Amino acid sequence: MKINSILIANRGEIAIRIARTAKQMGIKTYMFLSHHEPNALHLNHADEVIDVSDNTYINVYTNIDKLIETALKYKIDAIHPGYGFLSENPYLPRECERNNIIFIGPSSKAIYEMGNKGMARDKALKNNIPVLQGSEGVINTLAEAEETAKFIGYPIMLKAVAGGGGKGMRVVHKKSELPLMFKLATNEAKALFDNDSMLIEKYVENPRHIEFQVLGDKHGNLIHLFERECSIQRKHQKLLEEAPSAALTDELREKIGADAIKICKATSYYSAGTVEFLLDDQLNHYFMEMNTRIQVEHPVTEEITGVDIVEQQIKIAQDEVLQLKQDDIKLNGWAIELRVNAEDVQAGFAPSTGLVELMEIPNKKYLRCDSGYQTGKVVISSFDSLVAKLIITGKTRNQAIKNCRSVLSDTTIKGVKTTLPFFKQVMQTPAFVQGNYTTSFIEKDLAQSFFQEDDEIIAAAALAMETYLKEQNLINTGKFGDKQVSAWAMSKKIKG
Amino acid sequence: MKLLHSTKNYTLTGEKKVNVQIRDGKLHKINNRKAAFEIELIENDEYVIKVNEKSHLGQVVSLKQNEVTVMVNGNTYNFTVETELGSKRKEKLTKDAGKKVSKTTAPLPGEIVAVLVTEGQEVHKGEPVMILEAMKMQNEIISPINGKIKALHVKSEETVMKDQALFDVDPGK
Repeated sequence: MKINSILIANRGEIAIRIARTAKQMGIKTYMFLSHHEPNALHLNHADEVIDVSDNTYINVYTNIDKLIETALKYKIDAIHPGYGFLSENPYLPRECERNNIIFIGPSSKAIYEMGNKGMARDKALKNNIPVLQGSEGVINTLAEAEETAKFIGYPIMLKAVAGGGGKGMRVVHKKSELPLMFKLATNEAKALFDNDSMLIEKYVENPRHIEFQVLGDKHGNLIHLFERECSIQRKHQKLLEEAPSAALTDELREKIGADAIKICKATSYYSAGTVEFLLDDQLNHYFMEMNTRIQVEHPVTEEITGVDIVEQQIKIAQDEVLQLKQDDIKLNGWAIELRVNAEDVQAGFAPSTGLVELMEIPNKKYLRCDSGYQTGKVVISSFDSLVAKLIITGKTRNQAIKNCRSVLSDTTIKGVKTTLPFFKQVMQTPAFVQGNYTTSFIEKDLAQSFFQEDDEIIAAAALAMETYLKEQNLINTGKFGDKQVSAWAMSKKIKG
Repeated sequence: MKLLHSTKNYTLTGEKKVNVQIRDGKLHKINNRKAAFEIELIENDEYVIKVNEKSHLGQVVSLKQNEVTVMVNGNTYNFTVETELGSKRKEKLTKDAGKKVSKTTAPLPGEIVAVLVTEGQEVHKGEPVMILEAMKMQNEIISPINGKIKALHVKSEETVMKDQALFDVDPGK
């Protein structure tokens, strides 16, 4: 059935991203106006805006009933969940099916099976895909955890069965740490996923995080669009992704890609999905988990393959046969994505919310900016801190890095602190520039978490001293005047 | 006629110490380096600071008594301004008073989900003291030094604001 209208059950940049492709395909889009962000940028990109701002009790993006009710009321053909929120909740596609609404994503069964880390792992094992040595079945008590850990040997990784997005994971280096870490991981899993069952896996020190983008249709055709490397992470949260990976040879790429396809075949997977692997220093790969949705970092794959992944998702959802063949997919150039988050890098990446006073992104042919914000919009704490994704391409990796530096020096965001100074520092760090880095990059290779210009501290001291002297002067001469504090500084002051 | 200059030395204490010499009410030397400093207000409390011909973009975030916070090239700098003498005196006094009790504050707003120690208990550097849940993540708040828990300022299930005092650790002698 041809899709004529889509309810985009998401916000920010991904809502805009989905709407862009829908528009090209002549599909009408619907989005929600929520009380959190009545002035959100994504609303400008919708054909129809559904105002749910009077209902302040629910988060519309996580409310299945509300989504179904809305789609039925406005006679909308399909729902696209984007990422996060309900994107990996098997009940949404199930409810869609019951109500004759097309879900743009995989089947309820595939989400259920692959979303549960224990089941996904068993599936990999059954299909001879390498996995890390780990627990059989789930672990619910500390005693079970201790026994399994002893059997596998430290260090180990505790993982919430229902986890995702790097949440609910803890590394345990030795036996004495286990009780606390077990408590932390189970508490977090209970709070986040309402399921505190754990898995235990052997922990690989300094691995690389490599993931494969797959596409499958409802007729059994499956291809992959090569890999993305996402090893630049902080607390299992990805900050920078690139495609392809500097670590893979063509041979290795083919081998891991084949395993990615194999696990998808085993679940009769369709739609877009991502199979995540760990790569150890001997270049052995291990299946980790599968993400059954479009991912934040999908643009780097689009940039090097020329495939519009959202378009493919929509076509697959309307039962079309995948026109792309594996041999058609060619690697072309290099792409790097920088996640510009509203976070204060100097304060341990603490969220920095508030008014975006100024946002200037340069116009370059090698830059794609996917963002849900612009000057004058407000970053609030109710949603994630992603302000913009800067996707930068180049013919070679070196060229892409050069282009990154140029984009970074021409990008200005004021009002909220962002991760831009972090990326400036990354682009100057030899391990990254040489492509020789692992998930321990931030702890091991990065000298400090933000970039400082030469003499920057001198300039800061000069400004501070001048400001102080001016004030002293005013006091001494008895002329108390306006301190000339900007509205932004004033609001900072008031909020402390 | 003999030309007399009035000079005054200041110490700005932030993450690093910076020494500033003021001559005739103007910046003269920073960290004992004579340089061409130029500070120009461009708009809305925004300054261009030139140090040896290199320009930096700066903003004054706050000024409270002798505590100045500025932002330069997007990075934040907090300074306490003191005269050089005052700074040295303070340093000596703290040294004479023995090691300082270390105070830990909340790095971000959230809820204390667990307090893992009791007052008087010995802790080691890096040992988790409490768990702070914020933005749906559990963060361990660790002891910055070896010592004894001198005071716990919050209880389990308490909501805390950013920079709220959490606990003090006394390093002893």
